[in-house]
Amino acid sequence: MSAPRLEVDFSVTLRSGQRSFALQVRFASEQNRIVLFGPSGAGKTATLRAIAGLLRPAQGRIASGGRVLFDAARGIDLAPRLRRVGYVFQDYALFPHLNVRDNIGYGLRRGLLRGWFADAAARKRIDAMLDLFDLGALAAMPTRELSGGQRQRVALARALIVEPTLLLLDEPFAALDVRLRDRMREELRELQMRFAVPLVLITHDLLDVQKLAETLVVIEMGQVTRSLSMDASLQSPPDGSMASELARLCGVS
Amino acid sequence: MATAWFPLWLTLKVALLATLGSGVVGILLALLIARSRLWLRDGLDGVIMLPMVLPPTVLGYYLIVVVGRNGMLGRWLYERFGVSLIFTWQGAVLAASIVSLPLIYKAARAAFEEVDPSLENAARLLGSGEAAVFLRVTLPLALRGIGAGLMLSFARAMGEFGATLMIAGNLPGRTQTLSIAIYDAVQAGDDHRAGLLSLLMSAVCITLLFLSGRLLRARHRA
Repeated sequence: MSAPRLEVDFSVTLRSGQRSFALQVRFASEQNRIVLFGPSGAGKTATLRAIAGLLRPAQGRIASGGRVLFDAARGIDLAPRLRRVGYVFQDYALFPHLNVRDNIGYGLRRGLLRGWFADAAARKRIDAMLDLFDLGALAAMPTRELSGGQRQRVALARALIVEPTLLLLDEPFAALDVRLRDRMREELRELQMRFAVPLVLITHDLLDVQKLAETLVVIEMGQVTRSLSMDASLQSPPDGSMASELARLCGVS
Repeated sequence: MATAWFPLWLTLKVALLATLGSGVVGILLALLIARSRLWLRDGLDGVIMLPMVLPPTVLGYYLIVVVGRNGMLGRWLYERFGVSLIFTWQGAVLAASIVSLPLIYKAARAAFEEVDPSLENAARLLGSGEAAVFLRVTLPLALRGIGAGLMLSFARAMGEFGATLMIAGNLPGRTQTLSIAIYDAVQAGDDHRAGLLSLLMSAVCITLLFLSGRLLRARHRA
């Protein structure tokens, strides 16, 4: 049997000023779309940061597709740049000094000097991404002039162009209006399948869970309170009980 | 009028070299302090800011104590290399570097600290090592603030008077910068010369102000 897509099992104490917060997260999934659900401040973003290597757990182990990213017992702590993890930040974190094209192409330019002269292969890949995300007309535009939906597309394209083995998304739809959310959910589903990249998505929107989750992980007050595979019956409910069933699963009353 | 050109030339030379010196040192210190969690970080910050609060004459006095013929560093320089900074234009560069250091340091530190850490993290996650993160993200984003700091440093170095007078003296044709030449002319009762030199200095400063404004605006648009 192949290794699980994602195994997360770590603990860490976060401190900010006088307050301290114990985070203990443990879940594993064989599936491609994992949704972390929970109220604000529950530790969802910290979990994502730990997977990406931006936060160092005190103990535990994190592995993706059989690759060990972190293992406290064995002293393994891969640098973020070596983890091959794509990250879409909540505010997208687009580079404000670069235009759309250069934002998307950022990860293709490795090293300091090599790549100042973008090679033809890289140019082609960027063009393909611009096309795929319908950003061709905006290629030369500074990112601050983009709308929310366009920014998100740039962030996704920038993360996916380096072919990550795992894609992390921190509340990707929070900044979008309701109608756009629905469309972007659909796009994200398609992208996930097209790039065959497993994804972990944070949300506190039940609709995201319903539309995207294959595995649901509920995090509350620094603990995983539920971790389950969404079965087929829930994906296509017989009647209108779906919403309440989902709410019950997510621990929302 | 011919004698006005030397002080102008000397002033520009001193200010340029001083900005270069304080720029390199100030930017490196700013980076070090903005990034590190050193326990002596606040102490070091205070020491670097000292030239801003100390009177220039006090600063000049300390410089004489350190690099004068009998100073620790000064004696070593003289015995080892036969070099003395007292009453030389190089001494003026040293004085101007030190008074302008806090300006570039503070501007650069603020500029580095203003760079959103999640942008640097985004670069790391896209495969950049620390040097690439700095050169491709941090530095370009901090450049405007650093540029403004360099302009301030240069202006401060050009106007430097007190510490320069103490360490480099007032030797016409050798260490007499514009600010000192103006003071000298007023002392000698030569109002005509003082006025001329003041106008010259004003013209240079306004030109710089204009150029820096254009530079910053051009970068802003880019």
